[in-house]
Amino acid sequence: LFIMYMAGNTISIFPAMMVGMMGWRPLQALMSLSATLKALESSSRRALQGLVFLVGNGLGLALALYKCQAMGLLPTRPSDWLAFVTPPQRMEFTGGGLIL
Amino acid sequence: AAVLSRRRQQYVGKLKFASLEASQGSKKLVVATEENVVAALNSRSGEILWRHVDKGTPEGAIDAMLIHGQDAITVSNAGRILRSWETNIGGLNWETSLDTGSFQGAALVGLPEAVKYVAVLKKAALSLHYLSNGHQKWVEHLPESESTQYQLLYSHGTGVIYVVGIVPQSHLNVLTFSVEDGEITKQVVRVAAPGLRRLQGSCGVVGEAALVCADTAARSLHACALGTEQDMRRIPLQSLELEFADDFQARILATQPSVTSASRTQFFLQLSPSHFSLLQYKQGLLSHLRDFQQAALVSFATTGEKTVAAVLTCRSELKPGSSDGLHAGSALEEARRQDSLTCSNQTYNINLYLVETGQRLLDTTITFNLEQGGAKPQQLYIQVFLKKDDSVGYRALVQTEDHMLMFLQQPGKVVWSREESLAEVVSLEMVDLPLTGAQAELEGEFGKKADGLLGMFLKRLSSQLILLQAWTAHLWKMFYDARKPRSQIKNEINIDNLARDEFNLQKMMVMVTASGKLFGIESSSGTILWKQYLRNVRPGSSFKLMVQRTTAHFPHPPQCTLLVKDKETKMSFLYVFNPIFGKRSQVAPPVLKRPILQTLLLPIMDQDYAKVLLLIDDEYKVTAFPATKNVLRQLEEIAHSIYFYLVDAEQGKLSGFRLKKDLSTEESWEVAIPTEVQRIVMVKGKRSNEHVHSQGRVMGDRSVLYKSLNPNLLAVVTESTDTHHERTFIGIYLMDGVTGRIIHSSVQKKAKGPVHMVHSENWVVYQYWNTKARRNEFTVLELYEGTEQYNATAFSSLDRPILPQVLQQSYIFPSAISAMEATITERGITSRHLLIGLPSGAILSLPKALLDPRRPEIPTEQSREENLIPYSPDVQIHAERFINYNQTISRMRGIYTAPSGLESTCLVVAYGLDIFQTRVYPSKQFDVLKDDYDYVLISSVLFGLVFATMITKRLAQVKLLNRAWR
Repeated sequence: LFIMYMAGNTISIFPAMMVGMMGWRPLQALMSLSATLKALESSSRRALQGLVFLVGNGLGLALALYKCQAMGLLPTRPSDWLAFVTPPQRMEFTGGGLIL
Repeated sequence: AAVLSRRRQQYVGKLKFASLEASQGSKKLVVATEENVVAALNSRSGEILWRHVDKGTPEGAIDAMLIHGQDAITVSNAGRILRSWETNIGGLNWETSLDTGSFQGAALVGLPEAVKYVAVLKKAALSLHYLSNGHQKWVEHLPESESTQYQLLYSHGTGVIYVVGIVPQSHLNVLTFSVEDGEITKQVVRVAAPGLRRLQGSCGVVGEAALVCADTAARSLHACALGTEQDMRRIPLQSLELEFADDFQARILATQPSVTSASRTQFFLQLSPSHFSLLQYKQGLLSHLRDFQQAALVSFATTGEKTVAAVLTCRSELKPGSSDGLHAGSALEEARRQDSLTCSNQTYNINLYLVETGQRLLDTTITFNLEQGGAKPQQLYIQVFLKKDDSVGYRALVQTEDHMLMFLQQPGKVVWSREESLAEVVSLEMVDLPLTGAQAELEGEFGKKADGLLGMFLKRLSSQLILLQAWTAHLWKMFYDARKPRSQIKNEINIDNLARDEFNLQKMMVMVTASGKLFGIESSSGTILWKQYLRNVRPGSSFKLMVQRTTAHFPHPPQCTLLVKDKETKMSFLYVFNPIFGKRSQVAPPVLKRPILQTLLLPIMDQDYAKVLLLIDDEYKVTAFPATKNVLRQLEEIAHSIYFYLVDAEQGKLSGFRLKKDLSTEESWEVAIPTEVQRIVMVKGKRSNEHVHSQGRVMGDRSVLYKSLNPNLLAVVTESTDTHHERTFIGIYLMDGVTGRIIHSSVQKKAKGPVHMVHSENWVVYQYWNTKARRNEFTVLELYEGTEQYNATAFSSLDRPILPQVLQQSYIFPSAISAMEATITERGITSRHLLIGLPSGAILSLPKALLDPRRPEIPTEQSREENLIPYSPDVQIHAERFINYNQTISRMRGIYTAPSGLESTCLVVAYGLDIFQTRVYPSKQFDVLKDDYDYVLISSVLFGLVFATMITKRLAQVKLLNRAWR
C-alpha cells in the first residue's frame, strides 16, 4: 500500500505494472476461491473465514480500481468516449454564394 | 514511401511581344507577355532561360518591347519606366523613370552609322534616351497636344524623327525633330485628312518616309511623303480592283528591317478578316503585288538583304464558325459566330513570299495541324535565316487563341509547344483516377445485387482468378523489367494505363483556365493528358467546376460539370465532360434560358449515381440536372430542407431562399449591408467534403468542450468604403445560411483589406492589414457549444436556441500573404495546418495549433495538460516550414488542397503564374513505415528467432527423453 502511495498518479511503466499486479492478485485469489474453500474444509468457522477472504480480496480489488481511477485509467468521463461520438446528421442543405 | 514529389511548372502567359533572332544558330527568343513578364525561351526546347515577373497590376503592364542586338528595351507602367535587359543572362542593364503622360509609342532611333537612342512618344512630349545607359538626351513638348493625338513615330537613320499626330476627321500634324538637339527642324506641317479617325493600325510608314493610310469609309488609300507634302494623295481602291469588307476597319502592316535604313516599300493591306493584299508604294505609285484570300495571319521577316512575307492560310476553306454540336443552341454562340472564321479541318499552311515581287519561295511550306474543334491561330512570328546554299529557311512561332505557343520547323515539325493558358488557372478540382480492370471487377461484385449463394460464390471465384492473373502478369513484368537497365524503364503515363495507386496519391487535376481551355493533368508526373478548348468562352467569364460523379461508380464514367457565365451577356451554359479522358459527355445538359445566379450540388444521387445539381436563375427558379423522374421525386421529398443563399455584393444584400416542391423558391430571409458604408468582399461557407473526426476538445479537467459544427455557417467579410487610415475597418459576420441569423459579428477598426480567409470546422481565420500599427495581423475565431451538446444526433439550423460561444485571438504576422488554404484529409483525424502563400513565392505550412484562441496568456496546470502553447502575439515565419523550399511560385493566386487515400497525407496544388504540386503530412507520416525501415534486419531476426525456438524445442525434447531413460 505504501509503495502504491509512493508510486504516485503518473502513468509510467512501473506504477502501471504495480497497479496491474495489485488488481490481478485479488482476481486470481477470487478465481481460486473454491480451492481455498476446500483447504478450509477442516476449519469449523468455514463460512466466516471464507467471507473474510472474499472481503479482503474485494478490498484489494477496490483499492486497485481506485488507484486506476486516480491515475485516470478508467473511462468514466465523456472525454474518454469523444472519439466514438458520431457527427450529428445534417437536416438542411444550403448552397450558393456571391452572384456569379 | 516518401517519394520527393514536388513539381513546379513555370509559365509566362499570353504573348504580347516576341522577338526571334534572325540567324539559324540562335538559341533564344525574347518575349513580353500580358502577364507582365519579360522572359527568354530556349528556342530548341521551349524552356524558360530566364524570366522577370513584374507586378500583376496594370502598373507592371508592358507597353512596348524593342530589341537591339543583345539588349531588350521595355516600356512599362503606362510609359513610366524604361528598362534595358541583357538578353543572354537576363540581367537588368539599366532602368530609368520617365515623366508622366499617357504612352503612345516607342522606337529605336539610329544615326546612319549606329543605333544609339530610343525615343519615347507620350501624349504631350517626345523624349530621347541613350541606349547605353538610359540617360535622357532631350525632351521636347509637342505643340497643340491638347487637340492632336500624336500616335506615330518614325525615323530611318537620317538624323530626324518624324512624329505624326492626328486631329480626328480633320487633319494630320507632322513634326520633324532633329536627333541631335531635339529642335523642330521643319515647321508643323498640316496635312488635310478628313476621313481618318486614328493612325495606329490603319496607317503605316513605307519606303522613305511615306505615310500610307487606309480609309474604309472612302474606300481608298491615302498617301503622302512625311515632312514634304502638304496633301494626302487619294488612291481609290477600285483602281487596284480591291474592295474593303463591310464593317471591317482596314489595317496596314508595314515593315522596317533596320532602324538605320528606310522601310520597305511593300506593305500588307488587310481588307477583311481573312483577306490580305501585298501592295507596293514606290515613288508615288501604288501597285498591287499579290492577293491573299483565306489568309489567317501575315507577317514580315528579314534576314540580311532579304525580306520575306509569311502568310498563314487554312488548307481547306475558311468557314464561318459552324456549330459542331458543342453547346448547340446557346445564345452565346450566336453572338460569337459572326466574328469567328474557323478552319474546318484545322490544317494550316505557312508559305513565304518574296516581298519585292510577291513570288512564292519554293520549298518553304510548313503544314501543321491543330486539334479538332480547337482554337485558331492568333499571332505569327517568323524567324528567317539563310541556309548554306543561300536559300531561305525559317521557323515559325504561332500563338493560338487558347494561348498555346507552337514553334514550328520546316516542313511542319513541331519543335515544342507550350500551354501558356495554364498561367491563368481559375478553377481546379482533383478527381480520383479509375480503378484497374481487376480492381473494378472486384468492386463491381459488391455493387451488384445478390443473385443466389452459388452465383455469388462463382462470381467471387472468377474475380479472384482475374486478380491472380493480374498478379502473375505483374510479377512477370517485374521480372522482365529487372533484366533491363534501369534507365530504360520509364513509367510513361498515358491515358490508357491510368490507374489508381494503392493509396490514391495520384489524382487527375482538372484545371479551368481563363482562356476557356480545360486541362486534365496527372498529378504525380504533371503530364497533360487531355485538353479541351471551349471556343465560345469570352474572356472575363466566370466559371464554376463541380464533380457530379466520381470514379467510384464503375461502370458509370465519372462526370464533371462546368458552368460558364458570360460577364456581359449574363448568359450561361453547362459543359459536361469526363474528367479522366476529357471527352464531352453523352449526357445532354439542360438549356439555360435565364442567367444562372448560383448552383448547389446536392448529396442525393440519381439512379446512375450522379449527384444532383441545382441551378438557380435570376427569376429564382430552380433547374435540376440531371432531371429524371427519380431525381424529381427525391427532390420533392427533401425540398423542404434545401435552401439557397445569394449574396449580391453590388446591392449589399444577402438573401436566403427555400426550395418549394414545384422547384420554385420563396425568399425566407434577407440581410442588407448598406453599400454606402461597407461592401461585401468575400463569402465563404464550408467545404462539403470536409470530415471532422472529433466533435469536441478535451479540456485540462477532462471534460469536453463541444465544437459548434454548423454546416450551414457562412463567414461574410466586408470592407469599409472609407479608406482613410483612421476610419477604415473590416467587418466579419458569421451567419446561418438557412435562417439568416447572425451568429457573430465583429468590426475590426483601423483595418484594411485585402482580406484572406479560411473557414473550416468550427473556426475562421482571416488576415488583414492593421493601419494603426502598420502590420499584417491574423485573427482566429472559434465557435463552441459548451460542455453540453444541444442535440447530438441531428443538426438543424432551425432548432438552435443557444448561440455558440465565440472565442477570438489575434496575432501579428510578419508578411503580407497572397493565398491561404487549410489542409484537408480523408477522415479529419490528422491535425490541420494552414498553407499560406507568401508574396515571395514560398508556401508556409503553419500548424493551426498556433492560431488557437484558447492559448492562455498565463499558462496554468490545466492548459499544460491540454498542450496549449502560451500566447505570444507574433507568429514567426520559420524557413523550415516552407513546403516548396526554393521552388517559388510567382504571383500565387490560390492554393487547392485535396485528401488522399492516406489519412496522413494531403495533396496540395498552388497556382498562379506557375503551378506547383506537392504532398504535405501535417502530423508526419504516422500511417506509413519510414523510408529507412529495415525490412531485411527485422525479418531476418524474426526468422532467426522462430528457427531458434524450433531448435531449442527439439533439444529440450531430446534432453527430456534422455532424463526419462536414466
